[in-house]
Amino acid sequence: MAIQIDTGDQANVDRSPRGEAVISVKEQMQAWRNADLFFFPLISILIGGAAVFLCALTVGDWSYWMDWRDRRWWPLLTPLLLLALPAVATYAFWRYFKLPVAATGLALGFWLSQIVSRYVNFHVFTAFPMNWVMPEVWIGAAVVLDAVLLITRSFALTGLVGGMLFGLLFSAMNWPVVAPMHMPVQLGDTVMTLADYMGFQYIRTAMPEYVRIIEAGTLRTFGTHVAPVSAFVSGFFAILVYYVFVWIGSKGSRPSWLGKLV
Amino acid sequence: MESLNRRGLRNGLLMVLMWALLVPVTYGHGEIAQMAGIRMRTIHWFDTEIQPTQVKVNDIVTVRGKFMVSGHWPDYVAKPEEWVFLNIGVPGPVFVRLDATINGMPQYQSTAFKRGEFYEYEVKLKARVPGEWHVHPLINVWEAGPIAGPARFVQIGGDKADFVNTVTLMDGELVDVENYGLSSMWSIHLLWVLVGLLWVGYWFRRLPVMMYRYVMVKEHGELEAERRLISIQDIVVSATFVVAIIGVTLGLMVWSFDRWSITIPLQTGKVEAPVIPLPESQQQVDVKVNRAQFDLPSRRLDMALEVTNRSTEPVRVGKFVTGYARFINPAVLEDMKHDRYDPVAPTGLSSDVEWIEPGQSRLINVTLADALWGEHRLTDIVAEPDLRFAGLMFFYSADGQRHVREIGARMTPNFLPGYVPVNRHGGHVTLESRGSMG
Repeated sequence: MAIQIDTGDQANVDRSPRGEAVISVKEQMQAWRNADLFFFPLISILIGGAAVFLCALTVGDWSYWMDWRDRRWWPLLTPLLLLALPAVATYAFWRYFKLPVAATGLALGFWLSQIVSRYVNFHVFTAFPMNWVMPEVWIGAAVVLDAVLLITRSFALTGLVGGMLFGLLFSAMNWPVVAPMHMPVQLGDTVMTLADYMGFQYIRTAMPEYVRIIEAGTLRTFGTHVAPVSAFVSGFFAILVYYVFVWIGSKGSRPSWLGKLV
Repeated sequence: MESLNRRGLRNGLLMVLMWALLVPVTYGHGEIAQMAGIRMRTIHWFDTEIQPTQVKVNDIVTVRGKFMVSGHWPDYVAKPEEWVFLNIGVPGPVFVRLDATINGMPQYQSTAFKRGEFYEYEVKLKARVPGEWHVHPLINVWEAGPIAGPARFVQIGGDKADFVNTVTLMDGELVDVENYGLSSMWSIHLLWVLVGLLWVGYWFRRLPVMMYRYVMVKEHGELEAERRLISIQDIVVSATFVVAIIGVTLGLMVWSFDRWSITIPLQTGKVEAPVIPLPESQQQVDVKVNRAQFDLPSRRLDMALEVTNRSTEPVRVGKFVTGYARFINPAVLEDMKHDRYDPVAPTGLSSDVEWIEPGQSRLINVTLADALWGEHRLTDIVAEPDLRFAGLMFFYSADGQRHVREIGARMTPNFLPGYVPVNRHGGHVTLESRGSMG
């Protein structure tokens, strides 16, 4: 049975639909409001939580510890991994709802899951100082991605402009968070950042200093200005990541295979 | 049905209670899970001291001792000349590490060791979290994992809230390490959360949204739905958000450059672990392993050794250390367990020859027999990809002078009671033939 829908004609609000689940259009509208209030936060937290898991499996240590957040690998890899699930969700939200909120919702859900995990698991249970395990923040970059989609109404242009901005903004947005940890400290005749100093002080039995993947690479011809170059490279790759995962979203959100499953 | 549910609930609660009460508390770190061959052939720990073992928050605990980097290092494990790190095995940062040295050289970063050399280390810890903690010295070896030394339980009393950890930054500011920058971190995070909520709030300002738009797309198609659903105002608001976010990001960066004006990149690289002449590295007793057999059923390693005493005093075998385990000859030394996890066999070593005179070269049989082999899973050497063993043999003169030699060789495992392994000449190794070597 086809659902009879009121698409804005307020004169019909009291007309009973032919379905049995609701007895009036008014009630139907209330059910839809409830669906908004329930499903959007739920989807944001669920997919955001999944993104935390994905992040933990791929770029976990760069995200966990301040003494891993270097100028080369952290701004290069982390945005690429963070962009994957928002791109998938963006396709579904734009294709079926014309709503540019998927990346932002997911970034908010990610932030909530990440903060709870860091506070409870790292700070309360395992006693690491919160300033040393503070997660990255990328909600602003996600809003830009959504806003560019709304302005361009094109996945191709959003990938090109929004993807590049996503990679560029990640590094810039997070510098004020990590900057205090890059203040120099002298221990004996060794100078190190406060993050390195805390890495030495706050014992991680299975995390020796040498295991960090930091400052390694061949990017040596830009003097000390490595982070902006890494951010640009990340932006370029983010364009590709966005396209690939929007394509995956287009395949994954088709009702046809969902129908086969159900 | 109700009584069935009640019974199910009661049984469930009982199971949870039993689980909570009966599951033993684990105090160690799974150190015995590390491959026996790696423990026995990489780092030999000795003279370990962890003092004091009863402290309060902010008190200092010193971990010191010596280790030898095995000359019988397994070929299937990355070499210690690559990357190693002097670490501490504790359950999280219950202490903070104030200082660490190897042969007097500070060890704030990774280093490299030479195989066959002895090293002396010291680590100073500051008590942070109250509780009873198992503290190991530990060396992380690249691609091999953590090699733990012998541990002691250290009890920390007091209140964690009293813990103090300050440092002076190179701009002269004295800061609380655990809270430095935290308020600005939270402020920046919450600012971006607010921006995200404003964006989502704009789109959900008039409910319903999702189903309403879904129906529009379904009824009118994508292009028409876009035309109907997206207004000029939406585009202006979106553009404003983009410009504002880029502006706020740049503004925060400029502010942070001003607030934290002196920053340096994360520091990495190696520090030196110098080799210095320790008493242990100038030995006058030579040992060669002629044959070794590990008897799995009786937890016993039998060794036939050729010992040459080049010193001026008679010496005798007193102790064997492999990995972090100690086998003691009770006729020479007294070394009791400090606690039930202490890996020591106080009567685990015996020899058929007592004294080896100066200038003498003798064949002796040494037996290491104790349940310690099984308790610490050292019996797993029979399941190694390279059936070898290694360890430090300690010889003592009558006046207490100590001579330390690393020994190591191929080892023949004996899996079944009564089985006698075939020797290289096709005959059988018998107790009689081994006995005759002494």
